[in-house]
Amino acid sequence: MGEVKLKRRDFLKIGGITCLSTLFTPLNNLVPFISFAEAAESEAKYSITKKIPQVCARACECDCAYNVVVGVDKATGIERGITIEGRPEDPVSRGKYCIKALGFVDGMYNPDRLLVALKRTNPKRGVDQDPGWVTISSDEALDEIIEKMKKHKREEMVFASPGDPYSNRLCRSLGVRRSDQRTECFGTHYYLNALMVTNPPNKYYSSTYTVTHSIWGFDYSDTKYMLWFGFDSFSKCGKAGILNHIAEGKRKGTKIVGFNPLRTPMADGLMDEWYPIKPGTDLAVTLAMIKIMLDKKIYNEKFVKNYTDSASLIDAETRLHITNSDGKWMAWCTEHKRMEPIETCDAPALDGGPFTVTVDGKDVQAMPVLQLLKENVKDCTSEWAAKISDVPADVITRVTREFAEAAPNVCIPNLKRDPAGPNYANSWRLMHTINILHALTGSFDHDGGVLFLHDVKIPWLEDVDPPAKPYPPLPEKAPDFRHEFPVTEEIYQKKDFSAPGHYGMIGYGLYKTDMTKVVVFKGPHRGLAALIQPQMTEKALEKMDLVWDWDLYLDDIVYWSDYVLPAPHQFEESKLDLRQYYPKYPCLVAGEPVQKAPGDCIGWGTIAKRIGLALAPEYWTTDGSSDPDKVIEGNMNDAALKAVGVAENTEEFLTEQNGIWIDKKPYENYKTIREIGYGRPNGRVRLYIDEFVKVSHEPLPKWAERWTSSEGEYKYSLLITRAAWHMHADPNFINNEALNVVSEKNYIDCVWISPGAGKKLGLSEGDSVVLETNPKYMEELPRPVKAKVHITNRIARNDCVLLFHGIGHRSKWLKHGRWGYRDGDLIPQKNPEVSKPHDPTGMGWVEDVYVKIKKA
Amino acid sequence: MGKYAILLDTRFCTGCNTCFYKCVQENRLHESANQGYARTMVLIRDKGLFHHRCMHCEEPSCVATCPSGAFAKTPEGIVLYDSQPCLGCKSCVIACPFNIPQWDMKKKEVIKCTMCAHRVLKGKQPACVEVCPTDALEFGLYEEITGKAKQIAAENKLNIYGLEENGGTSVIILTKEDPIAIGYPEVSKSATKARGPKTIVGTAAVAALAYAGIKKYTERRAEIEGKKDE
Amino acid sequence: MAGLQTSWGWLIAVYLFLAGIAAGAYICAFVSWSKFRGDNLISRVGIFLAAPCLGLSILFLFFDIDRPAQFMNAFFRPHSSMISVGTWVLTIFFVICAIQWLKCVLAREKTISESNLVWFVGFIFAVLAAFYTGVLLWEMRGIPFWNTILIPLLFLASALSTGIGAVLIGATVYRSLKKDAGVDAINLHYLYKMDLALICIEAAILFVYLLVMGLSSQPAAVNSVQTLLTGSLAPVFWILFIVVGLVLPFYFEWSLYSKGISKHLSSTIAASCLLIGGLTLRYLILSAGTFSTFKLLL
Ligand SMILES: Nc1nc2c(c(=O)[nH]1)N[C@H]1C(S)=C(S)[C@@H](COP(=O)(O)OP(=O)(O)OC[C@H]3O[C@@H](n4cnc5c(=O)[nH]c(N)nc54)[C@H](O)[C@@H]3O)O[C@H]1N2
Ligand SMILES: Nc1nc2c(c(=O)[nH]1)N[C@H]1C(S)=C(S)[C@@H](COP(=O)(O)OP(=O)(O)OC[C@H]3O[C@@H](n4cnc5c(=O)[nH]c(N)nc54)[C@H](O)[C@@H]3O)O[C@H]1N2
Ligand code: SF4
Ligand code: SF4
Ligand code: SF4
Ligand code: SF4
Ligand code: SF4
Ligand SMILES: [Mo]
Repeated sequence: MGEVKLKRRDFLKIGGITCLSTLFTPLNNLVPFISFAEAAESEAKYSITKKIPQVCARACECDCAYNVVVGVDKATGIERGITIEGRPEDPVSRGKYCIKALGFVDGMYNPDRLLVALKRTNPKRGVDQDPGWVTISSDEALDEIIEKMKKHKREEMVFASPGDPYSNRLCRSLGVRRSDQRTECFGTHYYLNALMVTNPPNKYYSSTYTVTHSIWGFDYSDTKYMLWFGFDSFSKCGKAGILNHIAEGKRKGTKIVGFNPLRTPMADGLMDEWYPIKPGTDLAVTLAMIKIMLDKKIYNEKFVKNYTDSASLIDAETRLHITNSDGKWMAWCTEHKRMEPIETCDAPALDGGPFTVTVDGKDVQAMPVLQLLKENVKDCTSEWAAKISDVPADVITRVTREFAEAAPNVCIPNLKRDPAGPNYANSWRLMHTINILHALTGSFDHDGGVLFLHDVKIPWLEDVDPPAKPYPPLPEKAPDFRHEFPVTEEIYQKKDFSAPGHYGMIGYGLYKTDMTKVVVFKGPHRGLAALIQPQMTEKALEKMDLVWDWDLYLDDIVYWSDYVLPAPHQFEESKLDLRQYYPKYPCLVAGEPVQKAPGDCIGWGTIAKRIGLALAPEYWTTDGSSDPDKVIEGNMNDAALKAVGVAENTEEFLTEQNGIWIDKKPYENYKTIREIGYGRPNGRVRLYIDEFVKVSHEPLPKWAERWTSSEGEYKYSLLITRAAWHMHADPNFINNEALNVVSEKNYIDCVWISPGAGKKLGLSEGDSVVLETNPKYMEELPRPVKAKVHITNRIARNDCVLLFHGIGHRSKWLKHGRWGYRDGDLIPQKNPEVSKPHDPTGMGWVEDVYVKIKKA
Repeated sequence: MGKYAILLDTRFCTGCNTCFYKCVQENRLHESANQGYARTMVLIRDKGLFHHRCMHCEEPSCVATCPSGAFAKTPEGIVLYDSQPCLGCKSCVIACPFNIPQWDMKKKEVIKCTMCAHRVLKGKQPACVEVCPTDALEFGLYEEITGKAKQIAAENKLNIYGLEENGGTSVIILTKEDPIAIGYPEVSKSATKARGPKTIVGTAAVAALAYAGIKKYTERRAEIEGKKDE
Repeated sequence: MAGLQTSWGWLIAVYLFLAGIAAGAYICAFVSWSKFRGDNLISRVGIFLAAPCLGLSILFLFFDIDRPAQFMNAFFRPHSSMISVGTWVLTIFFVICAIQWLKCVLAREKTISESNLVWFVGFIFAVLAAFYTGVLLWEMRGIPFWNTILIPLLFLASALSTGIGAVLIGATVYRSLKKDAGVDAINLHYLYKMDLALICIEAAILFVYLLVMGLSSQPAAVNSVQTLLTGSLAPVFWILFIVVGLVLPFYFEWSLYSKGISKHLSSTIAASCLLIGGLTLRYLILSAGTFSTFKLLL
């Protein structure tokens, strides 16, 4: 082959052509366009067969109404609950719902759901013991349980159960104590099985002094100014039922100032100002706020005079409200210079004194409540509070002024576990100050402020099927020591048997006393295992004669149970719900079963009736006989609908009104506050709590340190919250792999510390650490917690550490419950003697834990 | 049908991930989600929230990089994936400047948002938008959404992400913090314009020159050597 | 914290590596063909190696894709994407190599006689193939570490170098099998020289590349550099790539070249080192490719 000499011309030619082709090839327009309708996924992946109205239960207090969409999944051809669809007509959810509601849908089909009853054959209980389960029919299991229960005295049994109507009736009829920590917590939560009325607005259970029982909601959409004391938790991040209102308010210009050592996404986006307050010191800020309002007289005098006990006189000696023979509070009339009933006094003194008045013929010195309050807070300056809380003094002063200016369209929302909830030692005091601030601003029972439920009356089981004769007395002593706390014992015994128990102490009671032999766990309430210092409860359960559980899954508690009865899923039951967490309009919502409970599932109502009929038949039959044919029917849904005058029965309500009733009349300010006898007996808010005086506590809030303090290496204050997509330790979520993935990607399986603390401890991201509780406060059975750290500036302080609640799991029957650490392991069970001086209600329990962090 | 866009105002986002799980249920993606693949997921990070979701670029890199035509852009502004022709080369995974497409190893397909084409076709909003408890997500016509985004951003001194990134996208994100500080990728304003194929043609030209050069050079050497030999 | 890039794993590294060798060997063959004005050992070895390497390379691509049944789709839209362009480039290149291979091996011709046109097209496609392996990465916007023209340049240099390595081994094997090939020893020296230059060029590009990326405003690129230099890939980078892949071959080739000798052993060691280095480089660049969102996604 001859060689062709490449000529200069060819050279240029080749180069040129190639270069030109670069320019001309249509490479710039590579994007293939297809028309939209040609999309590979132009059809839904499922076809809808029906939509079942439901109400969200046991995931938060909002109780969103929605439809569960049932359809055929095209990929599998199986008909099942697919997803949720919002109901825009519902004034609470307004067409929204959250990830937990969606999780519940898939929870129905969780392959690890318990569908048969199980009985233990290995008598040894414990997490390292194989229970040797044998299956048994639910009927038989119940028979055996009843036989065993018959052998025990009522003093030897305790129901770890929320105070739903059936549990209440069962315990009362058997004369057995019931103990839990959060009956009041939410709506349907407790009525899953009994499926009846939810969220009874118990009028007597006043929030003023129990600090836990919220009988109100907050008008998030119309409020102008909100203060959030730890309200912006990760738990709140998912609460669709309130978030949609907060968002609306925010778009209209609500100002939000938040205090939380943790900066959550709610702080990022929704807050105008955020202060990383020192844990446990919110009380100092609110006390300073009260002082500023009183000193500058920027409170709502009209409201204070007309709707509170501020002008009522307190006897300097007894330290109780002075009342006349009618039980009415008395005020000092500045015109007539004498004591007059508060209701008829035209010019009651709010301050000044002491006034000398005659009570029962004796001269006593008396002062109005507001004056006492002033004296109580006289040293609580902004500067003082700033030093304690690390919130700048000028901020406290300015925020107080702005808050007062925006009144009465202001509020300090607080739900269950944020610092004004029952879980922190000083919560009751904080809640008290918040109530006072709501009173001073006149935002109670006012739109834009704190909303009360108007005009809905809901009967309970006791009203529908009154017991044929008075219930037997309860055992004198409670394993949760409630009997040692008269403030709550009185409510429980006399006013509201559904009142929360002293869960902070039940483990201690079971472990330290020998009074209990039988423990009944009613799910949804695996509580004891996920709660505080479960190790103490576990140890105690080992020695019991009988432990049984009614649950949806085989989770940790069953390692100590002799029988487990399979429970239906909340979507497999009907409900009637009265929503009081956004009670702007009176409203009732009903839910229908989405499907029949599979397997051998047995409802709580059925269980309660069976046990009741066997052990205390006279309370479970309509005529007090023992005739099983006369067993009480107990349809509270129908009774409730009738009482409100909405429908004859649930069937009619569902078919004719689509299961939703809203009374959309405008909110009438200051109506319920009188009607419900809030702060009895005068339909006034009580700032001054006589009950506390009787148990040697302060009737008006005063600054107090936390119970425990930071000491040496034990200097990290424990903060707890939950991921928006996990609900406590509920396996509906913990056992959902997709949600676990989200958790992992968001470091929810880690403990969170600040970069500053991380540096001091020589830790870097992902290191393993061990957390230990100060042994001074956890003398017995400590169980250090091991986890990886996530170092994040979302923890804004170097003196705390954040744990996520509920992620710890040990049950080997849950395929996806794969994580180890449990916040509760670090929180000591309470000794009632230790509690009493700090807490008149005995209900503070998750609070005040200081831990040591060390590299593992 | 017009051109659509999604507005995400992160001020209202709480990181609840309801959008994530709704997408999973609506599109029946449980199995993929169990392995960590999602069409949208919100990650809570130090400086803010990061939404991992397809931006529906005006000139999508995924489309430009996909050899099989599995990716396509529609006039509605939506970028769609069709698993049928896909080779599984995973170029799209690496090519997307926002790191969006994920390769589901079990299903052997790309996980990527369709902007719920099946719902939009029926006049509904995308599932994740509809479900957002705070309406942090909003769906609408492109012009309206971008107009609104600019207005909100100006009024509230917010950053806009997506308007110009990668040549503009149909998902507009408003943030308080600098989006790059939150962790959103710093993406050049210009789109991927098939830089590669063009380069190849250019290279061919250069190679041709090199060929000629080598030839000339060796010929010259031979000549010189030939002369030397003489 | 940021894991290694795995969407394109070792199969792709081998794919890029083998394509590079094929291209390098071919270019080597061509240059020798021009230089020696016709048939010579190097050209023959180059041609002998190019086609199989390329075939293997494509096979590795085929193994990597997860839906091989759809492989043909890569051909249907020729300039839709880099992969398509590359598939065509490699295919055409393969056809040419195959023709020359067949002629050289099956036809048992003593010489590889070939038209200039074939060499021309072959050469262009060889360069394209070598360059393509880098452009492919350059295209990938999700990985800032790759977003530079230096990548194709680096890969081109490395392709040539590994091509030389492969040819060296081939030639050595050939020579040890057929003792009559002694004359060609001198030719190898020119390969050593070329490769010494290439190693220097490669090192220089790498230096500039890492410098640019290390100072980049993209945290992902900086992270990539860190992963390479001090992170989880550092041992591989320093030992397998820098020492084994660059320093050792340079040392051996330099000593062979400067002493004007050609020892089988040193030559083979040098060449093997080149190959190890080349494969390692591909693997390192791929694995260290941190995604832009690495700080966010686990
Ligand atoms: N996703 C989800 N939602 C839920 C639940 C769930 O498990 N998961 N649970 C439901 C139930 S039962 C409840 S009770 C509620 C609980 O919901 P929340 O009442 O919101 O309770 P936590 O999540 O524990 O949040 C407590 C917050 O207080 C902050 N904090 C701690 N100590 C202090 C302090 O001293 N001062 C201040 N200012 N802040 C402090 C913590 O940082 C945290 O942000 O949520 C309900 N909603
Ligand atoms: N350490 C620590 N302990 C805590 C808290 C904390 O923050 N830290 N928080 C406390 C608070 S505020 C609360 S409210 C309690 C909550 O404590 P629990 O109410 O005990 O909550 P979970 O652990 O989620 O248990 C719920 C149970 O209900 C079952 N369940 C779920 N859905 C259904 C259903 O549809 N039907 C039926 N029948 N069962 C169902 C689940 O299987 C699960 O066993 O925990 C308290 N404990
Ligand atoms: S916000 Fe979520 S968990 Fe709470 S009631 Fe509504 S849907 Fe249920
Ligand atoms: S649903 Fe809305 S608020 Fe929740 S994470 Fe998604 S965008 Fe944010
Ligand atoms: S974000 Fe990525 S996947 Fe989505 S259209 Fe743009 S390039 Fe494609
Ligand atoms: S993996 Fe991605 S780039 Fe490759 S063919 Fe499939 S869609 Fe296209
Ligand atoms: S638009 Fe549809 S497909 Fe895309 S993330 Fe939202 S729900 Fe998923
Ligand atoms: Mo709770």
